[in-house]
Amino acid sequence: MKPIASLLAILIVASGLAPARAGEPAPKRIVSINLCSDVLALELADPGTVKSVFRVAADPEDSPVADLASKIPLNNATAEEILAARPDLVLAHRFSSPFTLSLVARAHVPVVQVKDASNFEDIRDNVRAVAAAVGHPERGEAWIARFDASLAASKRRPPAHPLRAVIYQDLGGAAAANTILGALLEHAGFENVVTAPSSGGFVNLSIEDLIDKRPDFVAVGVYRAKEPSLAHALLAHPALRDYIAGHARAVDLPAKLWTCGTPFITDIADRLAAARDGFDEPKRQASAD
Amino acid sequence: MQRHSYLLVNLGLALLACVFFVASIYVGRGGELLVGKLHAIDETDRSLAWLILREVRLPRALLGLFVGATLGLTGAALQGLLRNPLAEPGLIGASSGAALGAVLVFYFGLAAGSAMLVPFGGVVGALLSLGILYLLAGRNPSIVTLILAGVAISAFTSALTSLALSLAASPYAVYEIIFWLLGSFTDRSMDQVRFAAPFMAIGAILVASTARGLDALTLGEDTAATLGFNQSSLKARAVLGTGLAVGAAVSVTGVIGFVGLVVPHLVRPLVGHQPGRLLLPSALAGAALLLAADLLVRLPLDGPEPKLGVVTSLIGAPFFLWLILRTRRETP
Repeated sequence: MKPIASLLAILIVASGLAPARAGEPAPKRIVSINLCSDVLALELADPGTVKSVFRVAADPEDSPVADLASKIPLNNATAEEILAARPDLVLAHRFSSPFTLSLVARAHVPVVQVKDASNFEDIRDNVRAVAAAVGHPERGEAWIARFDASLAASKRRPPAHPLRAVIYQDLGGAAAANTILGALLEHAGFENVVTAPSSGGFVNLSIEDLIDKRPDFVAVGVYRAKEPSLAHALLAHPALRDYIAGHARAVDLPAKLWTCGTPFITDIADRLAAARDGFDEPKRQASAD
Repeated sequence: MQRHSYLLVNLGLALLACVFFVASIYVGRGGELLVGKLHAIDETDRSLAWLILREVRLPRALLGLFVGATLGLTGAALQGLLRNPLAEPGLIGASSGAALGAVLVFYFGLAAGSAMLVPFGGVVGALLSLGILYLLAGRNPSIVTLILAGVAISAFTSALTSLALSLAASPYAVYEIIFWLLGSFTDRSMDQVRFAAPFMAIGAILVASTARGLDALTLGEDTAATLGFNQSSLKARAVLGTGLAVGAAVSVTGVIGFVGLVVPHLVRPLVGHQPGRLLLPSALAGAALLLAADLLVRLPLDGPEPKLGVVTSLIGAPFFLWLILRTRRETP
């Protein structure tokens, strides 16, 4: 375990620093093929140097930087499109297709992969890696400083009587403790009812399971609520509605702010902190306990 | 004597369906019982247990009852109508047609996402599939023609369902293909029961009204006609009833295979081969079987529940093979 972890760390550092070696000019033709790297690239790179971003980057439902991406050509993360853009830097995700990336590597284009952020330090690592790759480490540090200041402002201490909370989203998934959403719940002073870690980030929780866990607070992850899906229809289930109305408080968390672990999650932290503060005030609704 | 035992069989099957219905309400994930919580000291615990019972467990159990009865009944009626032991809403394409109709309404309709109109889509899809089957198979279909036509319609409508879902402007559509093609009762709500139940009830009444006609039909179409049974009215009622009931059922639970095939075969040894007498016990046995299958689905503790269609196919497919072997033995 340990050697693998350190090997990974070396790889990350190596891949993160490779394109920004001393003396090398900042890349001029950046192609990003994953939303999570798109967000960082658009914030950190010089305007005009990002030549293409992944197709969802311009969709305001998915992307917190949709306006920045609106004039940039979109790609579907295929090797053909990437190479056609003649990039001098490709930004991808650890989960991007290895086949695509090996084709890119054979064309001798440097690739930087962001990792799946499951805690705040991962977010800082990703920001640093992309900032270094696009040749502006100082912008990365400045952004991290803003991120840390915002996090410090939304930090809440857990109350004496623990507030049990769940982040519930389409398909009946509840955010596990080892995800960025789990970290945010803890950060805001809540106690996650889902204690088990999950490799997929979400734990399957039927409505019955959720009610059984008796959360005081239900944060509902909202993604494309206007488009019909059975996955989303679940959130309109009468049992869940009744439970929230009678026994819990709820808040909506737009998916675009948390699908990728980027500094934009401070917005989620603010919402959770506000919800947490609400519990200190007298309850507006009569609660059954 | 035989009347007596017919009554006993029906009572027995009804009792079995009742037992599974009650079990379906009280037994939860991993076999956990709800009874303890209903008698909990804490008032909140008790009210939450009631909430789960009323809004989660009850609709699920009701769907098991109604959909199981629908599939058993229509399976028996179709086998009688087509005089074919392999006829079944799933095999002849009615279910997958219904799924296509429901999918088109749910993901693309004017009131996209509204649970109220989905059963209409299911009913129209099922009726269209049955109409096409009838056109393809002709007036006096052989087993082979009927099954081939059914398989073709099934495969085609399933493919169209998958295609429609792949094209749908819905973030989870591709996951949902599994639901529509394999069926599930998980976290359905009382609203959905309310919208679908009337169609299933009307369909069941129409199908049940064909009982005597189906009996006459065993003597051949011409004999049945001379006995005074109106052929076209009989067929129309059976097909319309099947379309209504299966269409509404599938629009809420997705396609659940094999129940309509297996149940009449299980019931026949108990009540004999008269198709009319087969209808009621098939409905009861279908309800019992599907409720039991839905209890099995809840056994695994972790991860998402397996889809109901997986369980019914696991039971149904070996049965189907056994049916083939028996047919081969009887006709060497």
